[in-house]
Formats: sequence, C-alpha cells, structure tokens
Amino acid sequence: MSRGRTVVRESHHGLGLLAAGGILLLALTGLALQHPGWFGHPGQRAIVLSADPNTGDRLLRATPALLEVSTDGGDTWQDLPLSAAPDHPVRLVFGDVPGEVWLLGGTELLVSRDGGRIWEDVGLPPDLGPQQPATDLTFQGGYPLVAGRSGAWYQTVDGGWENLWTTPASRGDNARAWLYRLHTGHWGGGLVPRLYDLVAVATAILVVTGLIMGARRARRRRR
Amino acid sequence: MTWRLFSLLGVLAAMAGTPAASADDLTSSPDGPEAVRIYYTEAEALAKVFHKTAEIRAETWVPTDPEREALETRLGRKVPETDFVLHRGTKDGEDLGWAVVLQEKGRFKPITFMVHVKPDGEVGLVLVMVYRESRGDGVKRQRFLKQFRGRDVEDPLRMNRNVVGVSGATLSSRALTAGVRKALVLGDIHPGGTP
Repeated sequence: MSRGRTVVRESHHGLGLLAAGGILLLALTGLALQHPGWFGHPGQRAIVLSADPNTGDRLLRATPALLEVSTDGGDTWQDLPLSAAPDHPVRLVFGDVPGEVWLLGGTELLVSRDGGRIWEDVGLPPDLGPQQPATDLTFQGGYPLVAGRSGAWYQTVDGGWENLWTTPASRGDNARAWLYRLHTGHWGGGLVPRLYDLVAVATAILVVTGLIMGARRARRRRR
Repeated sequence: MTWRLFSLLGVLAAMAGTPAASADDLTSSPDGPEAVRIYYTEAEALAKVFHKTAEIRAETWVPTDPEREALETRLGRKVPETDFVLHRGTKDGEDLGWAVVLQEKGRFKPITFMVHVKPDGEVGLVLVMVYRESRGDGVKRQRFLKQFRGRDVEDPLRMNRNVVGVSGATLSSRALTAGVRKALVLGDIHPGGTP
C-alpha cells in the first residue's frame, strides 16, 4: 500500500473514532436531557427575594417550585404551602396596597392580597408560556405590565391583557424554534420523544459495539 | 430494503400527523380550538378506581366559609370551585375509599382528572379523564401518575422536589400535582374526617 493511501486510511480511522466519540456523547446527553428526573431534583437556589416594605424584617423568597417566608430578616425560613409555586420564579414584588404581593414565574403570574398566605393565579397573556417565558414585571397605574422576549402586555380593568408592543419573530427565531423541536422530538405526537430515546440508545449501542469490533479486528491484524 | 425505508418513512409520517402545535400555533393563536381527548367518562373512571360491581354513592359537598378558608390556607391558593362531588365506593360491605373529579388548568385549558383516596387516607389511583391541550398529554400515563400512589395529606407534593414532571408537559404535570394535593386536603377538611 502506498504511503498516501496509508495516511488517508489512518486519518479516516482517527476521524472515525473522534466522530464515534462525538456521536456517543450526543446520543447519551440527548437521552439524559429528555429525562431530567434521572438526576434527582434541582438544588435549593434562591432565585428571587423581596422585602415587605411595611414590615422591615419580613422577607419572601421564591426558589424553583418553592415559596418561603422569613419574619426575622432572613435568619430562618418557613415553607409557604403553595403547591403550584413557579418552577422558574422571575420577580417577587410587593404592591402599593399593604399585603399585596405579586409573583411572576416564566409561565405564570400569581397575586396574594394577604401578604403571601393565599395566592390567586392571574394568568399571563396568551402569547407568553413555555415557548416564550415572561421575563419582567412592573406596574402602570396599579395594573401589572408583563414583558416577554417578543413584547409587553398590560392588564386591563376587566382582567384581560392588551398588547403594548410586539417585536415580530425573525426568520432566525423561527428556525431556532424548529431546530429545538427537531432536536428534542417535540414536533409530533407523544410517541416521537420516545422514538428519539430508542434511536439514542440504538446509536449508543452501535457506536460501542462498533468500537469493540474495530478494536478486536485491529488486535487480530497486529497478531 | 426499499420496503423497509418506506415503512420507516410511513411510521415517521404517522407520528408527524398526530396533533402537534407548531411555533405559529403557539404564538399567534395559543388559545385556539380545543383538542379534546376523552380517556375516561366519569362512570368508566369510577369503575376503574373502585370495581365494576362496587356500590358507589355520590355526595355533593358545599364547603362552608370557614371550611373554604381552611382549604385555601392549607393549599396556599384560591379555590374557585363552589362545591365538590365526592364518590364513596363500597363492595360487599367493604369500604373502598372515595374519589373526586377535579379540574386544574394546564397551559391554557383545564385537565379533568379523578383522584382516588383509599380508606387509610393514601392516594390510590389517579386517572386523567379529559385532556384538552394540543400537546403534553404524557401526564395521562401511569408512569407519571403512579408517583402519587401512597402519598397522604402530610406530603407537601412539590414538583421537582418529590414529584418528577413529564418532559415537555411541565405545566400539566404541575396542575395534576396541585390537583392531587387539593384532593388530599379536601378529604382532610371534609366534616367528620374523610368523606
């Protein structure tokens, strides 16, 4: 075999091994991302914190799926019984009216009129949700104003939402949304992500068995 | 070889044809027509959680103001329902527990489901009866729902703490978690203990 051919063959072999490692990594990380439960529950991170302007020592903090209160300036914390607390809290704001607290999550807006004891789901504008989470909350004339990646909405007197402005999605945004769907398998029915799982497992098996077979063959040749 | 390729393409096409929301569906008309999927009628769900031959007695409970306040305080959120229909099942004189049909909002639409609570106060079976959103119906599977079995009113039931949600159906998972918690607290507050 000529030297040129040997170089091409060796390079091809090396690149193949590199690609096999990459494919294995891609398949396994993709599979793991589809099953977040495998790694247990997320840690207790304080995401948003707010002090009650009416009582200096009273603090509220929201962590993923948990809402807590402190009445001693943050030394000790007590769990508030809100079973539907946001997974991704964004803002915790005390309103002008005493006892009024607003809690904005990426996919929900809650209000409490009694300092955080009982919460009511106000609901976000229909355009905001998992695909476009809410990012900010402020007040205009006593009514909430919520922003997302592509616009802002304010709540009207009747409880509905009026669009303040909208930034139309660019071709790049749409492409990214489709790439996400294509990558996660969320472009079809509930079976597609499961099919992706199967493909990932099959790919991982193929790569590992391929590498083992290749290594055996190389060993035989050397002998 | 060719038929294998066509079979694979056929399977993919069938999957793609199942209800799915495109990016446009989600942004321009998110609250569009309902994609209602009925998995169980009330009678079917009751037969499943109790027994086909079980004797079922329904009771409408209208919580008093103090009961409603206690319910909301324990749940930490407003309860929009004015009354609850509680179904008690018995078979050959044996108490099979009780069940309640509840609705919780998923992303845009309510999910109707039944929670069965055993006589010892632990959750038995949870069944999704009607799902109305275009996607996220993975929560109907027992692989998710069986996490609630054996939980009782002392259990805080928190998503991502002691309940693992369904990937791609976070809001529906959370709605069902909150709903099961509501059922357990209902049973605890109901006058005279468990209904």
